[in-house]
Amino acid sequence: MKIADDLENIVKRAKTLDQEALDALVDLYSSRLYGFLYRMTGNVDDAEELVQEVFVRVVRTIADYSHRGRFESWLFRIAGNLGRDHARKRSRTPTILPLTTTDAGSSHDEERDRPLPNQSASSPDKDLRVREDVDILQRGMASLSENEREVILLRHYADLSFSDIAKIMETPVGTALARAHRGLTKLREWMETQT
Amino acid sequence: MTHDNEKENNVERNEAWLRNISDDPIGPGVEMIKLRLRVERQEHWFGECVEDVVPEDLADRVKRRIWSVLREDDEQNSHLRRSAAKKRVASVVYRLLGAAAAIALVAIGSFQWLRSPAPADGFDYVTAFDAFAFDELSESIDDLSDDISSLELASNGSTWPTKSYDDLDDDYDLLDSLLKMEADDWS
Repeated sequence: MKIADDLENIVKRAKTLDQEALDALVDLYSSRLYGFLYRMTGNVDDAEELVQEVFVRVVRTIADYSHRGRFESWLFRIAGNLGRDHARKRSRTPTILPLTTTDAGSSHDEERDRPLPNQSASSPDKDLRVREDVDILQRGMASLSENEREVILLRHYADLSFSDIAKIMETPVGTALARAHRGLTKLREWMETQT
Repeated sequence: MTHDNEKENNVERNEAWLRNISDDPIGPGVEMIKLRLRVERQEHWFGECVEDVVPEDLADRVKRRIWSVLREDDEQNSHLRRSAAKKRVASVVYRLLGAAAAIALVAIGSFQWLRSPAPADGFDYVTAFDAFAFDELSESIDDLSDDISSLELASNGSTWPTKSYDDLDDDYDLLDSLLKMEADDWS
């Protein structure tokens, strides 16, 4: 309850473009948004650019936001819209992650060879393992449909209920639930074939 | 883990699940509840697979971007405000010139009237003129001048306006009323 109260207070102050409140929202959500958008796009640079774009939109529209329901619903709806727009633009110039390593194009090679962020303190062995895990999971995510991927990501990163997700995706709750089930089943099968 | 701990964890987990279910009005269907349970287990598996790799200084970069955007917006808005303020000040200056011309006409008319022979009751029109007309009118004009100076400074971006256009409109209306009263009195 206290966290919700604090968040309500932060959002109220952010609506007046209070610097501390906006910084607090960045501290609270930038990591989750980054994870969400990285899993949506499969590219660290795109993910970061989109996180920044989400917050730019937040700053420009938060004055009109009315604090009903969960703030995360509003925030991740913006992120989801940006992620989908980005995917559509990308689909015109295909750079989506390949499903097999033999299909890997140069952009994917660069992406895979890039040191993963936040791993400077870890050992090279762990780096390699984390990179491989991320790579496999990411390729599995790329094999899902956009809707399946989005439900799974909204559940995991935004921590939204299925009813909230259903509202965001404008589908019945049962459909959102079925998409999550289908997507996670595919993902698990994919992961099992890779290990 | 002891048996008691395990049991306690299970209870907590079940409670958490029940809370979660209550957030999701998925309907009374048994199949739906079963599906919800299955998804819950899959999500638990997914949570263990996901390893987040967030850049350490991401939040700082996002904050810098936000503030650069806010600065840009602010500069753009203040440019628009300055343009609007300049237009408003120009319009007020024209209105003030009109008011000054009207005062001059009233004053000329008054002095012409004063030069005519004094009425029999000996009313001191000169004192009355000084006491009312110029005091009130000049105060009103001073107020308007203050409004315009303040808005001009603000429009150049030198200061934050201490007066608003509402103040200016109010002061202008007051001057306008005084002029009309004056014109009625002396006509």
